[in-house]
Amino acid sequence: MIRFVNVTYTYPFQEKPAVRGVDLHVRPGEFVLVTGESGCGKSTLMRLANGLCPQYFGGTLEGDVFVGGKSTGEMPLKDMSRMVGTLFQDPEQQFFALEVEEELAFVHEWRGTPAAETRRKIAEAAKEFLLEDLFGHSIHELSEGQKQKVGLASIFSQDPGALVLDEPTANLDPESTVELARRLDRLKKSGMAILVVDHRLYWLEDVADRVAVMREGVIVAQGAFDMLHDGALRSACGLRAAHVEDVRSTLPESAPPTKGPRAGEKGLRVDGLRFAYKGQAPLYDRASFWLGQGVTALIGGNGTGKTTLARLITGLNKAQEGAFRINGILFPVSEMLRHVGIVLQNSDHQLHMRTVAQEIDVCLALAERLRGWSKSRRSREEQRHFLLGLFDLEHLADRHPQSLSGGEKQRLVIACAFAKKPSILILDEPTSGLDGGNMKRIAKALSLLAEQGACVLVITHDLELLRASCGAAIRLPLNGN
Amino acid sequence: MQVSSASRFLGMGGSVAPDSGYDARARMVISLLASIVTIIISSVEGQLMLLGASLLYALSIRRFKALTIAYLFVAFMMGLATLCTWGLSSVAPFVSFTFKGLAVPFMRGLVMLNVVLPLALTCRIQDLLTVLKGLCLPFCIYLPGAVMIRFIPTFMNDIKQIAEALQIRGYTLTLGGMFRHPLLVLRLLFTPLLFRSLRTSEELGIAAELKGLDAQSRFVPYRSPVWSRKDTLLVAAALTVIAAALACHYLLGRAPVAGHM
Repeated sequence: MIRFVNVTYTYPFQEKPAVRGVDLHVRPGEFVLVTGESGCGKSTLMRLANGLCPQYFGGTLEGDVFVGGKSTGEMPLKDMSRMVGTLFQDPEQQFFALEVEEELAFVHEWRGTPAAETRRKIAEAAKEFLLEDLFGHSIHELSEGQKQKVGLASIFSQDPGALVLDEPTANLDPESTVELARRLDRLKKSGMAILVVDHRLYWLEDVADRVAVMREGVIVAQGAFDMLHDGALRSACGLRAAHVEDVRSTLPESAPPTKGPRAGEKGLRVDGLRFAYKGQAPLYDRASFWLGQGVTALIGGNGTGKTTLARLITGLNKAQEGAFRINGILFPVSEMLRHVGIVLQNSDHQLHMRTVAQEIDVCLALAERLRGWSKSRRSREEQRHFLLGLFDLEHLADRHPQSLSGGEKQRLVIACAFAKKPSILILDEPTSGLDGGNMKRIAKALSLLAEQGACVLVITHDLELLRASCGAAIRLPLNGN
Repeated sequence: MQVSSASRFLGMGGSVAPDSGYDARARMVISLLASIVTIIISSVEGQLMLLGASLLYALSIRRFKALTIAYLFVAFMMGLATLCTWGLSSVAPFVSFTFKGLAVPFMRGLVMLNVVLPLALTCRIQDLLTVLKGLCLPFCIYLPGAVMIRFIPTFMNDIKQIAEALQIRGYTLTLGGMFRHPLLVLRLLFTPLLFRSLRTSEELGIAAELKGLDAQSRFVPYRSPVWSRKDTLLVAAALTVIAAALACHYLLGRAPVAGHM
């Protein structure tokens, strides 16, 4: 169904090919997983399969890519998209409409599907992905996991002959991930060709027929899923674990040292938290929780209000009621951001300076101003070098932050948050879309911060990160709800 | 549910995008008429009439936050334009600089803002696209038009997220700071905005391609727009305002305004 024959592709204005000499065949009823470290050419392979390279991005293609027996160069993108359903890593990239229902209907309307048929298709897709309650919602309001479900529902409703999915579980909770694996298995058995590009491997253990491991644009290993159990291969290619233990149920609940607030206690105590979106039932109703020193996971399904909770703690969203105490001292919500660092998933919006080094320098200077520190230039330079090293950004120090890859930007914004030396740091899905090496790097950095006495709250569905760094958990829905 | 949302931030109220109450075609007709008339009318008096009526129209959608932000942005751009014109006139005397001369172009901009915002914020994108498609425009005009309309909410969401990112970093943007460090402020606000806008336009282009938007596609709406009496009344009110504005222009303000085109 999808066939790469000796494919070498180079993006415009680039000298080095993004992929080289790729031979890969995904037959109908076959499931192929492509993995490899960040920047190895996986996403380019996906763009070649759906025709975006070179038809949309330009560049030079050598060799042939066939879909359904036809060369992708001979088919307009519109026809290609009927044969190959594509899900991007950031599903918002593929949304054109603004509301969930419209987005599901959009593609069918443009394909001339009769209205009744469109209605039936979107109703089925919404039911399958439990999206009925979100029909009238703006896509901007959805959680990342919900966006991923909308993207998947839209593709599934189109009944394509082949599926190309880029990191389809990056923001899905583990239950939705398992459900997706089952769904893909059913589709595979019904004859669909499926190509999945992913860093997370464990969820495909029973589904993938074949695995291709890429490194620097070349497929370096191809075989059955079992080959991923080879530690040497995983280490050499920056892969994640092939099997992951789910520690969510075994992580101890984050519990306060004393029942009531006490002067000098080390951590964040929130009591009587109340918040509701306008016109909706309360999301938090007199809820209380404790965040102590160390790395704590915030666990809950997609759309349960994890990001909302992080925003309430920092005052980015105003809680209707609630008492926030840091180390036993009561703070007004408006002052929380002075003491709490937060890393959201929108790294594009957070980078302003000319170089990566300047970006960190500015954060160090801001932290000094905020805390009233007075540091020497040398001390600041040492701090910058330390942070660049901790997040493997030294070789990118002179690059423009906006020219970095998604994973590199993610590491940079975390480094910037570390520069603030917060006593409390909240990170929202810090490892989604990161390869094994970088996931471990983030886990190590979080542990280091925790060792220095910080309270770290990690919002994550990443079971590997949970296992590698988290010592306690706050589970949603919270008590009091 | 993620907290930050364009629509909530823009004052859409609640998580469900509301029904605009008017057919998208009515809003589009008003935008089209306003764009034509605001070019024809070159007097301050006529423009004032258009501006007042269009402001009432914009306020009627009750997206006060969105309107305030849009006005602040336009005011900022106008301030920049005024500064540039003043600077030019001081080094090149043949470029005349009068506030009155700038008033009409600025009011034209505001009139268009007042009619385009209700269109962008209350109409369903699909309805707008359906109307655009129904106009049988060439695809090379249709697609950029559709992308422009679709771009607005994402752009406003980006502005909000950038402001929030600055807050998280610990920047405090004050009016005084803007004058003391204008380049830094420009960098902080516009660098991410520029890159996000470029990315958004590319993403929308890809989304359009993958969803099969093209000139040959047969478009079948799954929900048909309904033109009601309310829409007829809205267009009739717009025509009345236009007639009044033209009357103001021809009866009160035909004297040419120095320095404007």
